[in-house]
Amino acid sequence: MMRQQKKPNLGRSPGVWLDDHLAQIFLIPALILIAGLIAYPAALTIYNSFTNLSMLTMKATKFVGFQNYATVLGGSEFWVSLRNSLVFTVGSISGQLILGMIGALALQRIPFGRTAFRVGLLVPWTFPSVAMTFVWDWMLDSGFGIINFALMGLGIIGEPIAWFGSRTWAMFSVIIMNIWFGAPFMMLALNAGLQTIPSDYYEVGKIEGANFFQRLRYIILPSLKKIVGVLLILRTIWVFNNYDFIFLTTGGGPAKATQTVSIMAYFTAWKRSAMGRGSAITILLLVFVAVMIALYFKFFKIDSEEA
Amino acid sequence: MGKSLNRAENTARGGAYVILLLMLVAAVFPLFWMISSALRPYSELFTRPPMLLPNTYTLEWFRKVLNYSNFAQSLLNSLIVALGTTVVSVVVGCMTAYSLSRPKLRGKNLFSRVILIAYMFPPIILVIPLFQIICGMNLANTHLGLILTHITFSFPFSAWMLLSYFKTIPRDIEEASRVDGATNLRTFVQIILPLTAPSIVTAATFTFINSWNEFLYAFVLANSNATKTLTVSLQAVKGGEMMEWGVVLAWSAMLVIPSLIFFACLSKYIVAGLTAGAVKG
Repeated sequence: MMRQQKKPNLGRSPGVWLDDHLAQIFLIPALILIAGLIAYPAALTIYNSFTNLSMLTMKATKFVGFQNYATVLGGSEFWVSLRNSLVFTVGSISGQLILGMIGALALQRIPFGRTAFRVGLLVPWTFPSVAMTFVWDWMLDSGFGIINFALMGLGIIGEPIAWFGSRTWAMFSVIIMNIWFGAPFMMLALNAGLQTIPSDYYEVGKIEGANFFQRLRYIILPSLKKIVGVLLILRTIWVFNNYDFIFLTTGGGPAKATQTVSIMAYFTAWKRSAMGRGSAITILLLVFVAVMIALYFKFFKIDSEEA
Repeated sequence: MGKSLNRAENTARGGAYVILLLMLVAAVFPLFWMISSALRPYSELFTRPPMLLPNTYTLEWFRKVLNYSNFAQSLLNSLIVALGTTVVSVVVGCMTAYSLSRPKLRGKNLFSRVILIAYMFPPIILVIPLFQIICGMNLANTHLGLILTHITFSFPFSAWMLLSYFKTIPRDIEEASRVDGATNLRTFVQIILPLTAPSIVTAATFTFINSWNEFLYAFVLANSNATKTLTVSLQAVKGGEMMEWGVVLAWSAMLVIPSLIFFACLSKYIVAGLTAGAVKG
């Protein structure tokens, strides 16, 4: 770097040369970490997905071509899991986004107490998945869960429901839990976006006599397009591939009612010892992630200086 | 401005407060309920209907957690893994952020993209090959093995977050230092690092918390008592035959405390940090 600033080349020592190339040298550790811990494992997964690698022996004895993919895509389990992943993702993210938007707009409206609300609303985000899922399990318990009592007290339900244990309610319950977890974060990110809208936009809206929904439609939403796009893509990747939330609450059950593709990949590799087939499933997840990443780069050219 | 407009404005404000209060209650209630439940004796855990606050407060469950056979070891394991992950991720993260914030470095855009892509890689995609590699290196059930897996998500995150701060340092300051005859390395250590110290602390905190909270990698790679982290041990307690809600809730509360404290102290940096990419979960 900075070639033109080179000092007169009088007996340049290796130290000087190294210092001139500090920016390149400083990238070496990062290259090693990324190559060894991300690129190589990813490549290994592709390779594994064409073998009969087993968890028991940790060895692949033969190359099976596309057989793992054929088995996965040919069975109904994958498609059920994919549907569950989509329901979980779309349900969670739309809930988070809608509540987050309402909260962000409300936060923008109030003159006092913004910081207090911001800090308080971050609480869900501080929960490790383990603690969060167990607290929700306790709140939703069919025998002693406070939510059942509250809903019964309000006359919404007649008798306690085993939320995580019921085929009807399990998916609904993990989605609600995930909305609880993610909506506050969406709210803060959207609120940060709202604060970048120049106040003259609102002034113009006021002069033109725009009502709230017109302002939302013509001023607020267009200005937030970018941040909403970033949030949607990144959150979709994470929620679609989330493992903890479902594994720790319903374990994918009952009767696969909440088994997502991530859970299926784990069970295939660990419980059925079929690591080759499990790898094929994760490659299918990877394809999904790759599409989302491509969308991200297409819509938001980060090359400029955008973070 | 007529009075009616003011009244409309007041109504909107009132409505905003009501919405935010409801959201706040919903956001905080599980935390409250976890602590309130963990502080009551056995007999009061299972009353119908449940009482919002206990009649008698007790630390019995917390004491039980502390006396749990592998609690202390798990705590130590969590600390070692989180600290190791944080040191590597932040040190390499600073070096990377320095390099990528040089305007003339060739290939910096490509490299930034690689970091971002690495950041977006979900653990479920890497867990099988990492398990295979770590086992192959005989590092299963070691702290180092787990630290390596945690670096996969915390290094790209800290590099990405630090980069956005490193870019904001005015170039003149560095130029001035260089005119004074300082080397690049010296400028990095004596000028850039101190200037970016707040962001380094923030990145370190996030990295620590993410590692502390992590479950999947620890679950598959640390199942001996010598390496189980707090999250994995808690999961074992919860899934065990002798599961006691009091213990599970007190343990969960202790697990949440560090991140609660950190987040409360750093709340003003959090939105910036989160939008820099910390959108996991």
